[in-house]
Amino acid sequence: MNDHLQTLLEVLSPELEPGELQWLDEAASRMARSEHPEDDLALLSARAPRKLGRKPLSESAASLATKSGAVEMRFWTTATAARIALIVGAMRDHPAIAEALVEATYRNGDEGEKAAIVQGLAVLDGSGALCPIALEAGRTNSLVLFSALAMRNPYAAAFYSEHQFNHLVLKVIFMELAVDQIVALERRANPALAKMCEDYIEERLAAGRSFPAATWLALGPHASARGERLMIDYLASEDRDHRYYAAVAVTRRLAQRPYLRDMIQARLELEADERVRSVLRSALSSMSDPG
Amino acid sequence: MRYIDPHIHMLSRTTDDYQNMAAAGIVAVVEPAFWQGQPRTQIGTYIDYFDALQGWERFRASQYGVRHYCTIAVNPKEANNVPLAEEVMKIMPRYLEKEGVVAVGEIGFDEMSAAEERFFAEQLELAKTHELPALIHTPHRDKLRGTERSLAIVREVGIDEEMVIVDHLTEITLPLVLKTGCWRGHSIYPNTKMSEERMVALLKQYGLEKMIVNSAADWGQSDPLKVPKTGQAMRDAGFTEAQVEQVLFTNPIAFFAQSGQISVEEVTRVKIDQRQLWEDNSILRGQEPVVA
Repeated sequence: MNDHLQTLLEVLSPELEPGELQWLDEAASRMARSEHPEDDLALLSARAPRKLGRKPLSESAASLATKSGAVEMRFWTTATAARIALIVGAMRDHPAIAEALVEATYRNGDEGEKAAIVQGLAVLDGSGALCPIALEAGRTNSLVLFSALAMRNPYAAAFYSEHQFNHLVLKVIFMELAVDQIVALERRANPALAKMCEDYIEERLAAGRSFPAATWLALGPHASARGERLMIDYLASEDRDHRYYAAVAVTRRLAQRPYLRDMIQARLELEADERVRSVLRSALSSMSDPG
Repeated sequence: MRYIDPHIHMLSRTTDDYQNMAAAGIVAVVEPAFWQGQPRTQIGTYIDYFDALQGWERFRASQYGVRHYCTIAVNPKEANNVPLAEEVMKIMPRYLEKEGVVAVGEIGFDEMSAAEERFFAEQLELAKTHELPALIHTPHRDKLRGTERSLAIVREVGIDEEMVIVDHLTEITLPLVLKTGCWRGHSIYPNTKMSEERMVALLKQYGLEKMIVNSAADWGQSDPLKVPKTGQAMRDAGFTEAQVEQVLFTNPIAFFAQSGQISVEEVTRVKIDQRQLWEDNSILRGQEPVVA
């Protein structure tokens, strides 16, 4: 069984000073011989940032291939990686209480510990058994904890029901976080999600308020006729980001809806922004490519 | 001019707010039970919270001449902790009969999970059994569907719609509630929910019947003076004093008076006596007590 422990340590060790590495080794030894793993894990997990800092791992840090998909450790910190490594070790040493250990560490954890566990859920769990932790984290208003769940994390897309996933995406939009960092959004998008986005846009417009440009990424894949009209309108928005994301969303529908071709062509002739032009152009050229 | 703020979380506000609210003409508040910003973990914190809503916070308000009422419930978010919500349901009956408890609330949906729906329906039943009004929170996300489903559950449980207020309504969701006998709550709050100007537009378009306005001020960026500010916006738009009083004083009292715990007669300015203590605690920190 691949519990990724070796990879975790291989990624983490080069990023630590000798004194820090020593602390980690001692912590791992303490856990290995622990007779009260819940208590020891709580203590060591809490202590990790004081001993190892919260340094971001390097850009070249490996990604972990989990059942949920790739987990990019370059977006983790030293403390997070150490916490996940200690938990993985404890789960391996005490398989009968593995889930209970994670739940207890989450429950007793401060915000940083909770966020670390949530970031590492795909490493800790390959079956969805820890979904209740993810769902509870999703109810938070804390940007730190919510981002750990929703951004660059494959766990929700792997294990959430359609309803749960849709509500997660809607909350990302509501909290104005980076919709384009939701893992597997295009794969998990569905008509109910598109309708929720369309309703949200209408609500915001009725209130005279704006909505995030990247909303089109969630609405686009299964847009209704109403949603498609909205997207097409926003191809001509004054806001360059709206034009960009609307273009991405509209052009992704081109294969199923070839009638959009003329509209995209017309927009390309009026579009001044190079980033947006590039999206429109490549969609048109891939369509006319006979290969 | 007398005002009521029928939805405000005073436990998270300071005495500066009470002072400003009293000066602006707010004579009474209704504080709904809600979450603390992070999940409660055991029944003891609910017991202490409900006790504080009825004890310490009523006292704190009274020191500024503000009458304080509350509602009691398992809120939508925390309904998702099913074992804990079940424990809260067991202690709720004794709280619902206490002085100053004017409704079951806030109940409703947050993300429309099965657990939320279960405790929403169960608490509507409790409201029926205890002959209390119910305060329904419509969700901030997927609001349209949440409101539709909330109204459907009200019908399914069979509680009298006159005893129900559906809160946090907007341009999109108000028309749904207008088709029912439920009361219509609107929260004037920065960045989400409603603004004074949009509220006035709704009053002009749909009239004043059963329309209720609150600030929903809480631990976030919010304004406990939104009710008097809405009154001013109404006057600026040509509404009469009588109409302002209807929406911002008479309507909320009429709705909550169905509990038998509040009435226009009862809502008079309480004699301020800061010499009083609450279980040996005082809010004074070295000031001279005000007796007025």
